[in-house]
Amino acid sequence: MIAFLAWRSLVRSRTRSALTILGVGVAGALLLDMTMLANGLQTSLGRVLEGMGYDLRLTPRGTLPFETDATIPDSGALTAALRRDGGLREVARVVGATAFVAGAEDSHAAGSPAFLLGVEPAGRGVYRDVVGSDLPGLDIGRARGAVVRAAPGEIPVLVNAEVARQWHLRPGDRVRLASRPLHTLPADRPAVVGRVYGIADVRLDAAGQLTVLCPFPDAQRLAGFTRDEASLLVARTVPGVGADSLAPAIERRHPEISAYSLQQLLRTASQQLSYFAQFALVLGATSVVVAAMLLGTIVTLSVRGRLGEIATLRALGIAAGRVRLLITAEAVALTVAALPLAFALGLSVAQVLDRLLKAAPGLPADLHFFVFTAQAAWQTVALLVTCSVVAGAYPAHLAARQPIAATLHAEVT
Amino acid sequence: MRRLVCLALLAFAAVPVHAAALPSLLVEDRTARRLGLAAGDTVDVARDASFAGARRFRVEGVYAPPPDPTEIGRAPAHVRLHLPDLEALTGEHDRATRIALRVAPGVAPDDVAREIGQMNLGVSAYDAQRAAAQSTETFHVIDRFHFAIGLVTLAAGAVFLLALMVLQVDESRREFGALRLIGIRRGTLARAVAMAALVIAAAGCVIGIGFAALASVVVNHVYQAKYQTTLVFARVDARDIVVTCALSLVLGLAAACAALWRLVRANVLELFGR
Repeated sequence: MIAFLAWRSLVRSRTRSALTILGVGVAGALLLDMTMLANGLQTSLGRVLEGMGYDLRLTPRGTLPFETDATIPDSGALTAALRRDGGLREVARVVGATAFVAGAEDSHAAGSPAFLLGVEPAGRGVYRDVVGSDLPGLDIGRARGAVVRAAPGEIPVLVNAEVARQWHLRPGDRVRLASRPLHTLPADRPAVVGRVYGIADVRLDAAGQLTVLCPFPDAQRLAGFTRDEASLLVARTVPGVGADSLAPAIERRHPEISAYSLQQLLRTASQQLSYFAQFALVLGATSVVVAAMLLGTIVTLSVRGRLGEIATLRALGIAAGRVRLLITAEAVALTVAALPLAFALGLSVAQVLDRLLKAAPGLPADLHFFVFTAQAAWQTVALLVTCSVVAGAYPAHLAARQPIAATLHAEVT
Repeated sequence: MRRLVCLALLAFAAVPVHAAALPSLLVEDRTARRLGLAAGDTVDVARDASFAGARRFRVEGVYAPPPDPTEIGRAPAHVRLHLPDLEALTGEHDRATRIALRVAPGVAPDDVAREIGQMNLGVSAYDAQRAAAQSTETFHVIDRFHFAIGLVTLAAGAVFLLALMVLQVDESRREFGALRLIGIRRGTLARAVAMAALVIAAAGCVIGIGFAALASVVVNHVYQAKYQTTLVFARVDARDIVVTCALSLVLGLAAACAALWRLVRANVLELFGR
């Protein structure tokens, strides 16, 4: 009977119900967007990092991967020591540096600054599909296309789609590489010639970023590293060994590096992104308050308009508690009816907002700020339903404590 | 190179040395607080965490740079060394990450930037405005994001206002019918309702601006303490007030018009429910 009376009350005033559903829908959409934003970047980054397949990342002490120009010297000795320590089944060194790249035909060009990534065979997780051939030693069958081989004196390179587009490169073409603008190179130290083995999809590339990959030793030479430096080490643990417990042990044995498991890396990164989490909290709270005020106001006005009807129900023997339940059910019903609109609007607006934020320079194209997860959806539903119960509490109390006789008398006179 | 040394580990050395003979450096104020450093202290600085080749410096003083919004949420350590000392420490000589120029009076900086760009020196030249625009692009993006969120929030508020106005006007149907019967014209009733809507919108606007100003004070207080900065995170300025008032009044009026649409077109008997 409660459901019947609540439904009847809602359909009796279609305009009022429609406007309330619209208002709660818009507020709910904003709330959904904020719950998506609160953990979106962290979730997105976690998915990308998980896709790379590494359990640990080892960086120069106190830095995050590629955050600074700091390097790990004597990286070969460190890698050997890490393997001896146990707990790791694969360790790969990575170089990240700036290099200038130009097409081989244009001998007078300064070249454009690009991100140079030097990887060892175990570091193949930093990039995905390859059109053409993969780098020697890194081929795991993901390349598709003709086989390419470097001529003597050339180094094998992969380029990303942006480099290929800018210089109209295909597998088999050549590029020139140097650690400084190419036209400033002395005659006795010409640019290194790279043979384009393939075009790779590099993880965490920013939109418009130029990236060149090559074997680790070639990258060290190009970057001018003379002490066997690496920018980063990536590692996989042996089955059964937890990365979260292994990371502090590695840091104790090797105090010159910082070791991050996936969760530790995300926690550290989230501290730098705390602005968005706090922004989401403030705005999410605001949208809950707006929804509560709207629901509370509408339901209160609705109750005031049918005090006689409620008094009649009380006179027929319906308990005050059931009247409270009826009014609260109306508020909850309005909220539940608004949920489809809230989700449809919220997801559409989230796409627009995500595109706005991804326009920030230097942001990896793989990352998203707004990520729809089951947790975000359930949080939104729970908050809205709770808010409707709270908003309905006052009008429910108002309805339940009306004196029956006096109310009926006022209605007929 | 500067960033490399900025993140080099500093070790507080309690060993008494002849501090006056040591090379000097300056420490940024937040770094000094974090490491417990003051003028006269000695520190070891190295290019990497192995501390191989570390050199000892005397802290000449503590400097307070202008607050940098790009460092919010991060806590990099900053020190300033004399260039020869930095070169000796890093082993990298005759290198610079940027060169700052001051042009002669009457010379346009962007002309100089263009000429330098044409010299093929392997550098990019930016006048101050272009450099500022490039380095603040992220904040322009966040600005646009805030604007979009503002629009969504405004939509929620507008629907709220519309719902209230429709309910208010709907409840006053009989009253309007009575007024029409005694000769009050539709236009007069409509203007009365519109005026009431404007008053509600204006009152809401004033309360909202007051709440926003209070919230700004709280936000700035909390986040300036949290991030140890003097940056202003939230501010209500004259442009915001003007835009807010204009939007409130326009939306209030629009809500009143939407609410009045059916009421004004109905005849007297319909208003009484006959």
